[in-house]
Amino acid sequence: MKRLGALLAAGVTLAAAAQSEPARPTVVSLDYCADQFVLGLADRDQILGVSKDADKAFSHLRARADGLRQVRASGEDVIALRPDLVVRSWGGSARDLDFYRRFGIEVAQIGYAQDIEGVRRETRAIGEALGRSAQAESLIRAMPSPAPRSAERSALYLTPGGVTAGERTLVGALIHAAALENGAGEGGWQSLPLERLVLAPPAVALTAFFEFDTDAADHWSLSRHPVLNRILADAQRIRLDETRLTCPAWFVAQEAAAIAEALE
Amino acid sequence: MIEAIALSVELRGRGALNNVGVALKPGEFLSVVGPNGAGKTTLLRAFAGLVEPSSGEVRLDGRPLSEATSTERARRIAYLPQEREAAWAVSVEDVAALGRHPWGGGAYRALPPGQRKIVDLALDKTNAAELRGRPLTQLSGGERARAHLARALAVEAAHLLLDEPCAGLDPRHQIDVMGALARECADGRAVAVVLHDLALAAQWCDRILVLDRGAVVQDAAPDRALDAETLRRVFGVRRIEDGRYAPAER
Amino acid sequence: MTRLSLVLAALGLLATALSCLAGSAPLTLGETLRGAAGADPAVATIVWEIRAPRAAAAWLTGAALGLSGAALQGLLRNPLAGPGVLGVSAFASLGAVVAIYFGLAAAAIWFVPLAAMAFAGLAVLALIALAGRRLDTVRLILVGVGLSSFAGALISLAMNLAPNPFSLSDMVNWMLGSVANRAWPDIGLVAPTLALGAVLTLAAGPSLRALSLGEDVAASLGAAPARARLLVMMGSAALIGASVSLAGAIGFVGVVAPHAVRPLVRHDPAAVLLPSALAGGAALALADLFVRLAPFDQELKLGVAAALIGAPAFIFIAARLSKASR
Repeated sequence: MKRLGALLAAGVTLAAAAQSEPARPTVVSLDYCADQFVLGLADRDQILGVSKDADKAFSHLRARADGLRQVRASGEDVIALRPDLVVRSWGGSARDLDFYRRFGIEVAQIGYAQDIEGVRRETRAIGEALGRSAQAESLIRAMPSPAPRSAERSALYLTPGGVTAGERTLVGALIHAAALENGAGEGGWQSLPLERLVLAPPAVALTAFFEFDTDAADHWSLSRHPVLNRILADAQRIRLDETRLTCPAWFVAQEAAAIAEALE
Repeated sequence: MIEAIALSVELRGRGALNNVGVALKPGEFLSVVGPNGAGKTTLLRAFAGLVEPSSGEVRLDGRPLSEATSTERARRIAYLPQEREAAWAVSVEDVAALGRHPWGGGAYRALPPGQRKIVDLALDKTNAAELRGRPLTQLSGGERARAHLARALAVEAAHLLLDEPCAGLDPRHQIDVMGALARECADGRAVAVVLHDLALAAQWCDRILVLDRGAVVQDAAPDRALDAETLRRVFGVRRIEDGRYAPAER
Repeated sequence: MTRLSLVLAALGLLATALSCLAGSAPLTLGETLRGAAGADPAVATIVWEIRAPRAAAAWLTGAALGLSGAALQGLLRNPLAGPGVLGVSAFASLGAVVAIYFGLAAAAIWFVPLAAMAFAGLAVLALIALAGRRLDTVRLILVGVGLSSFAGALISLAMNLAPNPFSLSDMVNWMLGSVANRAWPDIGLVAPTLALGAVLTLAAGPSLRALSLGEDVAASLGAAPARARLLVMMGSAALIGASVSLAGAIGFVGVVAPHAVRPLVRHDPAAVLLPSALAGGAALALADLFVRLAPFDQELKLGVAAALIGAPAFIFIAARLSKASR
């Protein structure tokens, strides 16, 4: 009888404990950037599905996508899973989002970050939506911040498609975090100013995506231009981990630290 | 001389010409007549080497036409098809100058003076000289016919094969065209024309070839070729006075 | 070489020279000229290795399109014919995309132009086969529209199945057309093919002139329409394939350039070939100069600029054609 009472008491205590912690929403992520947040922040049993790109080579946390259900970001596929929450940065159409609201599914939208502070903000916001604020805070605390130094050398971000990043971009923030001057100047995302590079060659070339997809070595790629190859040969070339560049998540700071380390 | 010897031609599996034997001699003005679908155009195209015989052969000056090179053939035989295509606004003198193509000619202004004179002469013969600067696409049907005829004459070939040279022309221009062709015959050229107008054929030609359903019905001087029996059987008409025709009992 | 050709050649040379002198680098004319002469190696690099090959690529592309457009119009006896309208350019783009996406480009870079040319030839063959021997205008244009859509759909399919989202911008290049960042090796790769295409096409000239009165007349004049068709087909496949692998699909130059110079050569389908090539080259070199200097945040794609000017011109030609009593 006593034992039964103890069991009952324990059961009541357990139920109370479960009630005191807020219920964690089940979640589906709609694109590979949302996948990073969900894979990094959510409990595995919260995740009803991730996007089709979650296990691709350009997905930073692809190893964790193993064994998870992968769905297309279409309304019917997502609604069929009955999640409490969907996380998106660009996946899914506006019409699908209306459907989700009608079914009482919350939509967490990942914003655009121009700097490291923005990365913290987005990480915190999505962590909160997932009911995993503690995990978000611990990831934010773990974000390395390189020792501040005066920026001396100019660096340029380079992709084979001829795109570079000026100020007000995440990559621009990364360059500053690594104590470098951004050779592309103002202007956000822009096409590479090849002529100006010849006149003012950067000391550091931060390259991404060059060796990423060798099979599709595009005939159009700027990477084949002999002038650019000479500039690259003269500069200190640091290969970036492109999986840490394409989404405003906490691991961006690790990339900045990696650049700073490579510069030592 | 162009000869068809036991010539048969099939077009899309149908016999268009059946065992035709006919010769076109220098200085001769031959008219090919017959009802629609009789094979008149096919015979002319076979003479010009534009269709392959299914049996028999066409001979040019005693040699098989198929053995002649395309340039040899082009220099000996001028051909005017029934369709008067005009894709570009080419001037009439440039159209006529195309007749010099077998001799390596080009646009009128690029021709050497001797060749240009030949083109001028052809334009004069067809009364097309006053049209010479006008674009082909802006000509009336009759003017266009004269330009094309000048092109055929400018080849200065020994054989002239003309499909309906008078179609769409008013009576005066019909006479002018037939007169110009008669003068070519007088110069020793062989002329064969496909005509629909039996009266015109009888008036101008030395010889008339009557075709019906791919076979030769008559090949003789006009009055004998177009006798009452042939008119009735082939064309379903009878001659009434003044060279006019009326329907006949078949 | 006629006076018209000399003027057009000079215009092309002028556009190319201007392209070499002007650009995004903050250089004065004097600095550019002195630097290009060797005073400043950096400026010499900008002029001779960045601007010059790009200008040359634009001129060559325009010339190839103008020449093949003039030849196709002569062959088909239709002023609306042209590489873009008939779907040949779209097929060449498809060939290039196929070569890239099956990894052939990685095996050997000349696979791209080869595939572009092979597919351009395929499109011409399909046109001849589907539009019938008489090459009827309406059927040709309709078949061309079909071929264009088909190639466009297959390119979209390749984009759908693209290995990663970052290579898409490169794929868009194939459809819009651009000569940005072309270098001398790119030109060297396609130069032999361009030369071959030009020789084949120009050799068909006299036959095209004879063809202006129809195939029977041409044949009776000893001009061998079948040979002309073969020359123009092979020549156009080479020219369009090479130009597409150099610059992507650039529309309307091939239709509008022959039309612009035709009245100046007395509508002669043979004499129009060379001036049409020179006019196409000059037009595209000027268009690329405009594209590079236009004050937009992002550089305009050359193919977009060409279409912005060329499409209204094409509509104008088509409208006038239906009014004319043909």
